[in-house]
Amino acid sequence: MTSGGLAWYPTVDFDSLVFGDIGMIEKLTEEQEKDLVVWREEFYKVGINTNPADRESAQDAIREMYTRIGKEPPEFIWGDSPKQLLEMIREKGGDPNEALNNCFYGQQECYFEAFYLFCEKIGVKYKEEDSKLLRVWEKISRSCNWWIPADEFCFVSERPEIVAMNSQMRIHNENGPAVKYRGGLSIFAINGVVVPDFVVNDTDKITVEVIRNESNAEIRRIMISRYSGGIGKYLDDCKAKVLDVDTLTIPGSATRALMEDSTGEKWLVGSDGSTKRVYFMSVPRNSTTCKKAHNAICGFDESRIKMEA
Amino acid sequence: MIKEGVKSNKKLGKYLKQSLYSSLNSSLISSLYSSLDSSLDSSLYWSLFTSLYSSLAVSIRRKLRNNT
Repeated sequence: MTSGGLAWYPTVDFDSLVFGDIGMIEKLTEEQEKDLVVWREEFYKVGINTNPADRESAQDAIREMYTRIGKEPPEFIWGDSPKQLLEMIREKGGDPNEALNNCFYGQQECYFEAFYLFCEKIGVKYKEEDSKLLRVWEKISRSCNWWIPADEFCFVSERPEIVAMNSQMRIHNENGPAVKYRGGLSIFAINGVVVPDFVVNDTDKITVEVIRNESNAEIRRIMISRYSGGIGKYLDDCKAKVLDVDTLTIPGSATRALMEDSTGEKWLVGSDGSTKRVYFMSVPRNSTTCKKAHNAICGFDESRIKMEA
Repeated sequence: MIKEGVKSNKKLGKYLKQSLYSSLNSSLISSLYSSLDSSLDSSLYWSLFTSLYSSLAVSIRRKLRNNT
């Protein structure tokens, strides 16, 4: 197998492949298992790449897409963000709503090539033409963000300048935008949940009333977790009701309480006897006692907890 | 529509898949699929793309409302 003309694309050592009786590859070699981890990481980086777009490569690849469907190459119009593309389309008399549904997502679609190219790397043979086309898609993913093809024009977006992800690979930034384009489009998100900017930038604006009026339960919970003064102050401010109070039968256990806030969210409030730190745990809304709430979040019956002598 | 034309190039997956099944064991395919396609898809597409898409859709709706 050849490198397909791309310098980064490694050649395959056929001797190291594990084939079954009928010539099928049954499993990866140790080396390929390691390669898979590196490969996934590489394509993940393609997806969150924040460098300026490689305009020349993007235009080359998109021109080829047009040629393949029998269209003349378009005039390219670049924007700083997908939002700017939609605005430019509106200025040219197009419908941004329709355009939004006619986008391709460039680097954000690279999972497709990651999978098929890895299979090719370990020995799968595609038809030559299919393999070439796969590389055209790859070239687009590696060079730009969203693109919107039209008959005469093709609108292409620069990559974002900030993409912040958490360890679960969800967009996340507690101190600023999780995604920001050079043109000014910013998205604020906590653990993958998109939130209004003030939830990140100006937490004093998170009031009991704002929380009560928020219809999205995930955003409400994030707002509560970021309430100025902490969750305890929030429960005080919203005049949360105490539904149940008890003490675990384990010696030295502190009292705990089940509380319901003004939005109907329930919280199990407990403390650590040694550090005196208070913990607020979000529990299912159908919890009626501290014990049931605790069992629901732990997944086991707490009466089974026994102290060692 | 040009989108449909370009999209037809993405039907490529259908043809590539045929080659996969003639070369790779099906459990290896599903293991590779979940390591690469679906895991990158869930972070890049679902986390990143859908957030952008919904923010842009909201912004378009807001603009349309303001213009009427």
